[in-house]
Amino acid sequence: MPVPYVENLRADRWELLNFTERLKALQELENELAKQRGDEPCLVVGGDLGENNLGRYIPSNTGSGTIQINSELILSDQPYEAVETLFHEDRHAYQAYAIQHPGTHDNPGEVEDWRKNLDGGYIEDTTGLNYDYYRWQPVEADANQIARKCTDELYSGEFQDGEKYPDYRAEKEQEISRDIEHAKMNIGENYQEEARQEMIKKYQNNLEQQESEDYYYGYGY
Amino acid sequence: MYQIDKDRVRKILVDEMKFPEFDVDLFLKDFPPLHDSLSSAVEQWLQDRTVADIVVEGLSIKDVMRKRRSHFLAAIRDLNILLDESIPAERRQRFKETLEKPVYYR
Repeated sequence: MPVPYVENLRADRWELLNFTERLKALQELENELAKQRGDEPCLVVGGDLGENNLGRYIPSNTGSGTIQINSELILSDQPYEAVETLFHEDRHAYQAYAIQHPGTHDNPGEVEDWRKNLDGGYIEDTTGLNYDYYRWQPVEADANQIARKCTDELYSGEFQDGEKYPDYRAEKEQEISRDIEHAKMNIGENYQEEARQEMIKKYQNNLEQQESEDYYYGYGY
Repeated sequence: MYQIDKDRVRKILVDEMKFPEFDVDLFLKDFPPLHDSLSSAVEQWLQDRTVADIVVEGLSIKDVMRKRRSHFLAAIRDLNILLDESIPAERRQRFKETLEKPVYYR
């Protein structure tokens, strides 16, 4: 699928927009991405998420979810990080959609990993102990990879942004190299598979716990 | 080399800090032996959870914890890598550069 073309996301247009107009441009991108997969778009909002949190996807059981983008990124006169975060969070919406709609994604094994990952196997790093496992578990590794690719397609490809985007891109590539180096040192050369295995372990633990609770309360068997 | 007392650490993280057991066990499963120069900082933390102001290869543990939003013990494990002479100096230098930069969540 081609990356949707939203004129106001061009760096030279973005810097002339106010906060509301920038948010509207991000919403427009989300509308197009959702349309491509045949889904309802998420509501895109700004939020005070703290220094290290760029964004988050909040699913909903009753309708479309919400994508929160750190307001600092929307206030920045460079659009790149806000757009890359939107692509990342939208990919989480895509993963959820692909789980619910078999056949959407062409790799069923990957979808099965996402299902386990989002159904009790998600490794958070709220404790500050397990960044590498958080970063390289299937849903996060995939969302980071797709977001990087789409941002590149939009700014290097469609917008032909040769002025400021190359510096941003170089910094992002360094960031990825650092994440790989950190993971290799701490969890090994096969860091991505290691994170996947731990995700599956967590999913199974939760499943067993759920089954034993059902048994205890007389709901199962 | 200094070996942390994993049972004692587990008890602190799970019972006192209320961290999820899965997260703690995942963290501790491959926790390496530490360079002796880090032992007093860890012992102090085990005693009263104080984070000693230690600096390794010019990097302060408090900076690493803040930038990487990491727990004291995760930062200790990272700094320990900088002291591991079995790792080539060039790679340790590269690792040091990763610790100087923030990490992001989304």
